[in-house]
Amino acid sequence: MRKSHTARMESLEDVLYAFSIAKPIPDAELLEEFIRRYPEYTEYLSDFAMEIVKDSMIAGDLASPDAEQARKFQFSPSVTRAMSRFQNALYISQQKEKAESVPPPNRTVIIENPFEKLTRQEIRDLSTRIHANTTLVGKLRDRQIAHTTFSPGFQQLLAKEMKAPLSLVAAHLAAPPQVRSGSQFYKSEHKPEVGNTQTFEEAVKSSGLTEEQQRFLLSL
Amino acid sequence: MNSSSTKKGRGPKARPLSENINPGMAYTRPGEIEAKNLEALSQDFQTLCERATVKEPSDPAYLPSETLVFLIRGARRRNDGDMMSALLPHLLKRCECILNSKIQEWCVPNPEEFREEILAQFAMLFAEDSTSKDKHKLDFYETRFNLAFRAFRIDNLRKELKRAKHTDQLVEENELDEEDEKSQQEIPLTQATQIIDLLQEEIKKAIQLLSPMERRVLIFRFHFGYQLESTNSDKLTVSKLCNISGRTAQNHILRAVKKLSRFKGV
Repeated sequence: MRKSHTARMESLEDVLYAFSIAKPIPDAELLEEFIRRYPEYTEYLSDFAMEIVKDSMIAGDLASPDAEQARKFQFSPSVTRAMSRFQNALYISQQKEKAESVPPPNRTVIIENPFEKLTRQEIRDLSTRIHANTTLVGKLRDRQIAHTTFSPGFQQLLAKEMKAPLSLVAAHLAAPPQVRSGSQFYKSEHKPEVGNTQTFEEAVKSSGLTEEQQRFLLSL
Repeated sequence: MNSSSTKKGRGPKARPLSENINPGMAYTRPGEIEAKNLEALSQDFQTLCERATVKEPSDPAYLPSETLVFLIRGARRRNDGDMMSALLPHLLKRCECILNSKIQEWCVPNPEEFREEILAQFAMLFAEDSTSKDKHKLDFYETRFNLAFRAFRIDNLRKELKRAKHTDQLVEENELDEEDEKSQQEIPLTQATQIIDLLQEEIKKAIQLLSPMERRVLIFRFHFGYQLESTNSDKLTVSKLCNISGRTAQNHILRAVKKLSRFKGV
């Protein structure tokens, strides 16, 4: 469907292309028609019209490139260099397209942390119920353990003892590591940063748990 | 046979072209181009590569430039690198031939560099096609390739000349003041018109001897038929289009005619 010409601004390039393909050689009628429709481009259009007429006077057939000349050589260095620039531009363009089609990370859903609403006492109770201690629960809360290393049995136990849906607990554990913010103070001049995550086994072994607790947790 | 050799030149069959800004004209491909496009769509990669090498437009296997654009754009949309790399150089070669004949030493200061730059800029249109940067510019080329390429070439030439700061016009304005009276006495304007009529073919050859402003004035006066000046301020005139006085325009014509007369030996 055609839009109203007055309702939009055509780019100069579009106008020049349209002018060029309207007639092989422009005449006064065409030039005036375009100047009337695009008065803002009067100077460009008159220059352009004059150049087209001049161009038609220069040797070289407008209708088709010189077949004889085309036969004489294979791809010239100019064509090769133009292809090279095309390939570079294409690569950049394709990379942009790819980047635009991938959703940016961390912008999506904010994963609820089921540990946030627990009091200190509730955390201690939870630690006892899962045969662990508050150090390990702290690592679970702050997502410092690689989620792929949890056994399904441990995740089920955790969800059951937290009285939370398994999907919520699993989503929390799979979310990026978190540094607790808020009113806490720290001595360092820099804000605390997220450190490297541990495997579940490393976390169990480095949390000061008894041998029996470790055995239980790693057997789930 | 590699995998690409069995590919078809398939693109979206009913891919419409963008809206035309010319009243009463749709950007539709001419019938014979549509037929060539449809034929090409049913052919495999190898056949299309062979056809792209045909140089003679009268050969039935010849692929019109409009069809090459159509096929390359289809390949761009499918990210078919093999097809683009196989067909685009042939199209560029055709463009290079046009540039070689049209962009000559007297047109721009560095014609060789300029031709190469235009060729590369044209190739870039295909890289940008179907992206947010450009979605429809190549539609023009699918409709009337040579006329669209002419627009591209001339627009770039115009920009290049501005960059090169051609000052012929200013120099000429100063020179004219000194010669005004003498020129007018030698050839009256009515006689100039008759000489122009007689010299149609020679003008084409001699046009390059004229200065840019002489060419400009001559073309507006004798090709477009505009009056030198008018009391009606709404009317387009040579004076208005060239941004000079009617008297100066007349002097440009007389000087140009003198040059053309010498060329012909009139």
